[in-house]
Order: sequence, then structure tokens, then C-alpha cells
Amino acid sequence: MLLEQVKDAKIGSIVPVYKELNEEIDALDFFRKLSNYGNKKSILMQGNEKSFGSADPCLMVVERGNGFEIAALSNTGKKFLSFIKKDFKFCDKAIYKKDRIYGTLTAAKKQVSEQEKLKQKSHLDILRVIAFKFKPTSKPFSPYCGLFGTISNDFIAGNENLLFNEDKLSDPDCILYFLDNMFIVDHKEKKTYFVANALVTDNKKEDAYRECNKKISGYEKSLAKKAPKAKKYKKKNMETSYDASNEEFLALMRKLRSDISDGNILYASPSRIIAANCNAEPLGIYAKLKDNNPGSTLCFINDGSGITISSGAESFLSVYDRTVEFSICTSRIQREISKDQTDNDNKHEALLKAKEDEIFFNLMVLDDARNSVARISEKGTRFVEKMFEVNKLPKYHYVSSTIKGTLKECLDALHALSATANSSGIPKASSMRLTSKVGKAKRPLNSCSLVRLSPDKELYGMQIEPMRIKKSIAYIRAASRVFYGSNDEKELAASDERASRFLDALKSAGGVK
Amino acid sequence: MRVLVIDNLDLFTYNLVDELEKKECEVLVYRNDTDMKIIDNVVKAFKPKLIVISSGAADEHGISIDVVRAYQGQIPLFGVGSGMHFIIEAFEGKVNKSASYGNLAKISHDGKTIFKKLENNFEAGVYNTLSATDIPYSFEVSARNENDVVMGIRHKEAFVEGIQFDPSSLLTVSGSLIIDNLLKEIGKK
Repeated sequence: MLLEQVKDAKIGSIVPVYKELNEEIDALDFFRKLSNYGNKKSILMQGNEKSFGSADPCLMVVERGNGFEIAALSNTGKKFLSFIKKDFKFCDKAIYKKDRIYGTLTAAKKQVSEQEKLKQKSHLDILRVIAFKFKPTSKPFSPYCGLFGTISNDFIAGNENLLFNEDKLSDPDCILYFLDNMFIVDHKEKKTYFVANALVTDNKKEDAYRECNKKISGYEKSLAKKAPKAKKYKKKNMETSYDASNEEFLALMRKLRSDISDGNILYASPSRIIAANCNAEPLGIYAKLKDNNPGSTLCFINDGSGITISSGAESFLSVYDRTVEFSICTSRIQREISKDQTDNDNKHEALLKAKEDEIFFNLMVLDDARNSVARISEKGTRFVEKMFEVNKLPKYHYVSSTIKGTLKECLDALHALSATANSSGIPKASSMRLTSKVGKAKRPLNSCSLVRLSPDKELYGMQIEPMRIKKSIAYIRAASRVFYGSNDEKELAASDERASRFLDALKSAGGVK
Repeated sequence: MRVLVIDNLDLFTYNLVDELEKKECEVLVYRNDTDMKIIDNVVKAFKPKLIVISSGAADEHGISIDVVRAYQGQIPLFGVGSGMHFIIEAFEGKVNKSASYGNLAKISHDGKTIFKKLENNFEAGVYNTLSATDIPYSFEVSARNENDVVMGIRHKEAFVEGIQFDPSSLLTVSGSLIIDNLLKEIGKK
């Protein structure tokens, strides 16, 4: 039946071909086999409801400043490139080769109304071409294919006039894979799917179908394979360094506090980078991070130039059926969950609800999130669905709120991402300028949105502060908060505490002591 | 009704835009760093019945003050938060740092124009840290908070009004009525 669907599909269609298993496989263990312990170009995302990944993407999209490159990583990728080669006429320059398309694009900065500005030419248009080129014939489950990866927040704000500092990691602004094939583990339904999508670029449809089946049987064979063993590392002492000392960082927070007193901003989220030696398999570090942070949404990405590992998120954005759903996680406080400490755990939760400065912070961030969703929603459709709910993870309580709206007819999911991505403060533009002026480094992939964008124009994104591993050094961004009523010393300690989950994973993975 | 909003760097601007659009206003938003010539052309072509100066960064008023000076007396003006302060500065008044900084204020008012049918001491969300200390002679104070900080101003002759609290904040239950009153008052002109 699936063969018939592929045969009937028009050129320019994408047909999901898949196999369903009535078992819930261990996603991390399976990914280890597929990716040779995370050493291949690969991606894994794990959540409470679903986990999915692939070590065989067909394209890799990298954008840096005004430059971009779309590289084919497989034969399917080459066919994809050939199919989209004429779609980059809006760029300043776009050169097509069999295995890549590269060029430059200058984001438009014309003075137009803010409604028009969202629709101005930007680097997100390159992602639009790739993500939305093929029209799906069906959607068996979500996700099944599309663009997956990270986009830095500064890059999303490409039409803003920001002061860009030097990026010491020499990282690109965005790295995304197009996954034409992947595995999906549905933890709720206790099922596993192997999916390979037929990209119909010509009339050789049976060949495309055969190729899909080959990929699916490759997944089946991998199931039976033995997992590769991690390399053995000789123990070393952990060495950490900060790009700003405590005193320097507190001085920076004071500067931002004076901007708050002067009425220039309401809230800023400055950050500093912790560099630590990494002496273990990155996927082993990821596994430890997962063990130490149960309940969190996690991701592991090897893009060939570095590894991105994240746990948890500050906000979640989803766009589906023209519905925009934006959830923000604001205040948090530790938990004490052992039996004899239940009363203390209640006290922590009560404190989270009662502290005046946190109430002020939660309201401010919620009004800002309402503002972001209102910007991209049809008039009168934006509303707060969930307000200040206290959620419990094994290690902490956190406050979350959800805002919904109906996406404006003239906009798409990437416009929604553009309007909601913000980890610099309130108002977004002023705080971005101030933090980029006083901060030491540009915010590249350490402060980004983790996104998945499907051909049917659905988007799932989350704001993350991941760890980036390059050349055996792990770079951790420790972000802090400055707002009226906040205490700089306490906030600095809290940001160090959040960064410590990465340092703990580095240690417990075995290579450093 | 056509409304032009000068956006002082997106501080809750679209909460206000949504409130206006819900009341069937056609709204155009321009950033405060737009060239004044472009704004003049937009005004000529769009013919707004109201110009709103939104809240935002105190040190980045951009063209806000120029817009107030250019269009006061010709087109009704409404300032919110820092927008109110930029109106005061446009008329040579002064704004200083306020000792208080909170997010819930009790607003007492004179019951006129935008405050019609509003009960006294209504609650409103305020995020701004600054306060007006020297109100220009051509203005009257229309509202204050419980600490006597100026929360509203009104020009004695032209249609120029300002409020320091945010009418579209979740904390300002009466915000929608204030916008209704504002649009009704403009409709009378």
C-alpha cells in the first residue's frame, strides 16, 4: 500500500514510509549503535512522551553571519539539492554544486512598519526553502521528518541592529539537519517506528521506495547489533576557568541594575562562560546528565565541528494547525523529596508562591510572553491558558504559564519563532543590545532555540542553554537574572548551581575527578 | 479607527495593539528609530486618528519626542509608561527616578475623559521606574497612585493624554474600559 502511495505521489511530494514495532526500545542504547557512540553526524532528542533520532541525515544546513551552506550528506541529499537549486534567487549569491549549495544573504534592514518587518528577507528564509519544499502526502505521527537542530537567539533576531562581539568558539549561528529517515520511540504507546521518507524529485518513484525500505531494514539490523563500547579515558583532574571572575560578573550585573533603575530595561539575563576539560565520550556525558536530571527534555547533537548537549528548557513553542502555544518556565526552587522531608518540600513550594520579587518576575515575564504571542496572532485570539502553575520535577519546583493564539494568516511557524525567541531580557531589543555591549562573548549556540520544523509547517522549539563540547573542552553558559528586587549574589549562586549539572555530568562520566 | 503606534522597543507594545485591534482599530506600528520623514509620509498616507507613544527604554526615545512636538494639536496623542514621560519631556517638563517600583498600583483619578465610569482606586499594573516631577503648565494631572506619584496627565487644550500604568497588563482589569473611553473621546472630536 505504501508503494502505491509513492507511485501516486506527485513530483515535489514527500511520502512517509515506515515500520511499526509493538515495543518501546531503549532510545539511548539504540542511538549508541546507530551513531557509533555519538561519533557520527547525528541527533538525539529525548522527552517524557517521545524520543527520536537519526545518524543518517540527508542535509546539513549551516549559517554563519551572512554566509550559508547546505551540504548533502547522502544520495537523497544530493537529489534534494538539485531539486531546490533554483530557489535561492532572493540571496545575494547562491552557488550550486552537486554536493552543496553555498552563498550569502544580507538581511533586509529597510525602515518599514513592524508588521512588515517580520516578513522582511532574513536568514530564516533559507530554512523556509528547505523545510517547506516538499509537500507531505500524509502525516502518520509526529515527528516523521524535517529540519532538526539549533539556531542561536542572536541569529533569530537578525533584523535587529545588535553589537556583535567575537565568538570565541568560532561556532556557526545555526546548524540544522534535514532528517529524511529517523527512529521514533513513543513512550506512552510503548511503540517504536522506523521511518524513511520518499522524497519524490523525479519519476523514478519505485527507486525512491526501494531506498526507503533499505534504510528501514538498516534500522532493523541495527537493533540486533551489539552496542559499541566507549573509549577508555585515563583519569585527569577537572580544570575549570571562567571568562569573567565573580567580581567582574557582579560588576556587570550592577551595571545592568543601574539600567533598570534608570528605566532603560526591566530585566536582563547576563551570562558568563565556564570552560572545563572534557575527558569522556560526549554521549557518555549525555547519559550521565540524563540519569542526574530525570524528567527533563534532553538533546544530543554531533554536527561534525562540535557536540551540543542540553537538559531542560526555559520556554517551549509549538505551532500546529495555525495554533501558537508558548509556555514559559519562570521561577524555580529546589525540592526536598525524601520521606521525612515532605513538609520541607511543601515549604519550598510555598516560598516559591509567596516571594514578592518572584511574583513580580513571573508577572513581568508573563506580560512579555503575552506581548510576543499577540504580535503574531490574529486580533483577540491571544489568551493565557495556564497561569503560574507550580510543576514538580524530581529536583526542583518551577512555575510555568502557557499562552495561546491563532497564527496570523500571513505568517508561518518561523515568524512565531522569531517573535518569541528571547533569552536576553525585557524589553528584548534593549536588553539584547545592553547584554551584547557589556557581555564578553557573542551568544552563539550556547544560547539558542532547539527546533524541529516539519514539511507540514509544524514547529516545536525550546529555548535552551546547552553545553557545547569542542576539542575536548566543554563550554557551559551560566546565565543569571537581574531585575528589580533580585539579589545579585544569590542569582550568581543560582546560575552556578544550574551550570553544576553539566559539571557533575562531566565528572560522573568518568574521565575527570 | 486608524491608529499609528510609535514602538519604543517593544515593551508590551503588542498587548496594547491587540487591545486596539479588538476594538476594530486598524493599527500600524513603527519603531522609534524610524526616520521622521518616513513617519511624516506614513501620517500623510495612513491618516491616523490617534498616535500612541508606547512604553519602552527611558534612554531610547528615538523620534517619540519629535512625533509629539510635530503632531500635538493636529492628531490626538496617547502616551503609555515611558510614552507619557516622553510627552512630558516634549513639553519641557521633567521626569526623575521614582523611589517606588512595583507592579500593582492603586490609581485615583479625576473621572474625566479616559477615566469615565472607572471606580476610584482601581488596581493597575505598573512596570516603569521613573516618575514625572515637573508637569508642564499646559497639562493637568489626571491620576495618581497611593504614593502620590503622577499616573496620568492631560493637556488642558489639545487632545494629549498619558498614563504611566500599562492598560494592557494582566493586572489592569480596567484597561479595556480605558481604551474604550479613549476611542470614544476621539470619536467626539
